[in-house]
Amino acid sequence: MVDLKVLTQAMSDLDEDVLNKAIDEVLSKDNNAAEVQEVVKACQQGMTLVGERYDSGEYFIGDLVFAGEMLQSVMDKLKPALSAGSSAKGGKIVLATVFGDLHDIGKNIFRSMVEAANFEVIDLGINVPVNQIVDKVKEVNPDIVGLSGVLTLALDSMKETVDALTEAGFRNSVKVIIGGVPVNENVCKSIGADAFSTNAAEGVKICQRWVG
Amino acid sequence: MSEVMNLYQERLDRVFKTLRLEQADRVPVLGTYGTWSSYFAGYTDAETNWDTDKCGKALMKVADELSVDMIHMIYNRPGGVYQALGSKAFHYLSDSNIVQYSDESAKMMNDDEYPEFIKDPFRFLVEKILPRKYAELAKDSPMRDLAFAKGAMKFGMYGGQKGAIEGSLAAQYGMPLLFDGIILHPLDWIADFFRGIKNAFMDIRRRPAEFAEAVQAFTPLVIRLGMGQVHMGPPKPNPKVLLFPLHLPPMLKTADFDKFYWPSFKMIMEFFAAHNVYVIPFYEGDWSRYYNHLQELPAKKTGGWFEHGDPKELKQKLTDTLCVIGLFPATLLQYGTKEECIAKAKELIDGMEGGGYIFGTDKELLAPADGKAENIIAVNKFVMEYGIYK
Repeated sequence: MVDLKVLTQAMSDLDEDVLNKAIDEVLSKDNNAAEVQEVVKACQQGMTLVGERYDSGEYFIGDLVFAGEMLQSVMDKLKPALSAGSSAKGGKIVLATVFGDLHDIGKNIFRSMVEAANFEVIDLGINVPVNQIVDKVKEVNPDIVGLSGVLTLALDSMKETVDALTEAGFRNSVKVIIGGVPVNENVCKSIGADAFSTNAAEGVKICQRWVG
Repeated sequence: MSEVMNLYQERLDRVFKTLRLEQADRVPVLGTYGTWSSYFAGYTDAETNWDTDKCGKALMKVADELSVDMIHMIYNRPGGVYQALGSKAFHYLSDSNIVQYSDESAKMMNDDEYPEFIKDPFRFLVEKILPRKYAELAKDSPMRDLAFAKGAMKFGMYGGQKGAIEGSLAAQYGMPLLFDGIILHPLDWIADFFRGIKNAFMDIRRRPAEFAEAVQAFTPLVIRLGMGQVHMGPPKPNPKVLLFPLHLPPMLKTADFDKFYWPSFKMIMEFFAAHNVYVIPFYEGDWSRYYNHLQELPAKKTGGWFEHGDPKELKQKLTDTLCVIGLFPATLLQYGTKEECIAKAKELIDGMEGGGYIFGTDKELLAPADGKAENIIAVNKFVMEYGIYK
């Protein structure tokens, strides 16, 4: 059994070498499904620590992007060894960079952190039209819709999306969180979102409160 | 001198006095309206990129109707140049949207190419990067040479058109333009155009030594590119001014900033200051943890367009070093009332009391809805009346 504390620490320290070595060790064993589950949890805990280190001003966006990539590559390695449907999900989020904007670095950071927090994320990608988001909400019935954008023009698309969700009768059943450079309290109010954040770790906490 | 030329001179004096940290008659107002100007004049961003005259007309309308002391720059892009060279990096998501650049399109260079890049960045740029970026330059001669000649010709024509717009703004409206060119930090070059932002963050951790060397090796090219633009236009009575948008610093840890960004940044800033060129970085994001660094810049020889920052803290930390530009939230122009906008402008001017501040938005206005014209007009008028130094 690998030392799970070391794994959590390596993820938190963004120490790729230590993390990869431990993962390879686990995967080299037979009948490792149970251990793989534990390893996933340990990495997720490491990611939570990454978020905390971002909150405290020790890490910045570059570190979050790197952490997201590290976690993604670990999960890709572990996926074949994970038994299907074994991991309990904390909630469901439909996520999109809104229509008119193709900047997704922030959205991707949020995705990796919220996935690490055990949410099921349906990521619709970039430049997502309003009706596509509404249709997906209809289809998967999520707890939360997350809208992201960097350009100021994204704000209009966010507002149109929230309006369309209201019109389609979903506004009472889903919470909406907006994120990205131009969002602030004023904008959040005008758009009619439930919350805003320019900080992925904080955004995750807001989502956890909603489904908690 | 004609009335218009007097106005032109008066505006220039106001702005350059403020940049030198001397007290002018009042707070100058800088128009930072970018592609928003297109929409203000009834065009789209694409239209003004393909027809530079329309860009000129849009800027004339801004100069005529929005009460500014200076317009930051001619904002459009030469569509013909990109077309001649076969660029695929610029995306219009719809007819009315602004042009955007994707991180995917930026991935031009492999991570094992750093040694070649470091050895001779200019050769690498010309022989490797450009053909990957521009499809026409990847073809064999003479197609490649023809495309290059066509691109150069289009670029020359564009330069001429820009000069004519600048002349018309001065002659008809007494309206000066602030920026004579634009430079980027070597790290932002690598992240934005060669490796992609995500890959750059990977390289910083996986290949720190090579990454640092590449930044260093590219720095002389940035200086050359800047000086080229300084000398491209005719001489001016005032110093030439370069815009220096800074992209990655707020995303870096301070230790990484110290290692990868600051040494080149300081070298570039010192070089231009020594050559009487005012470089005005756009300090994107939150720079408060780097204010102590900025105190090391040559005093009174640079400006700083800020997106974030507490005016009082900026004033206290940087008041002897550089002139502060910006800070007014663009989203307030979009969503706020006239009264809210004016209250914010008052707060800013009071916070920056005593000079060293040029009023402007915290970021360039780009999209059609980015600012209500009536809010812009009201705020600018207020600043010109309230911002008089007694």
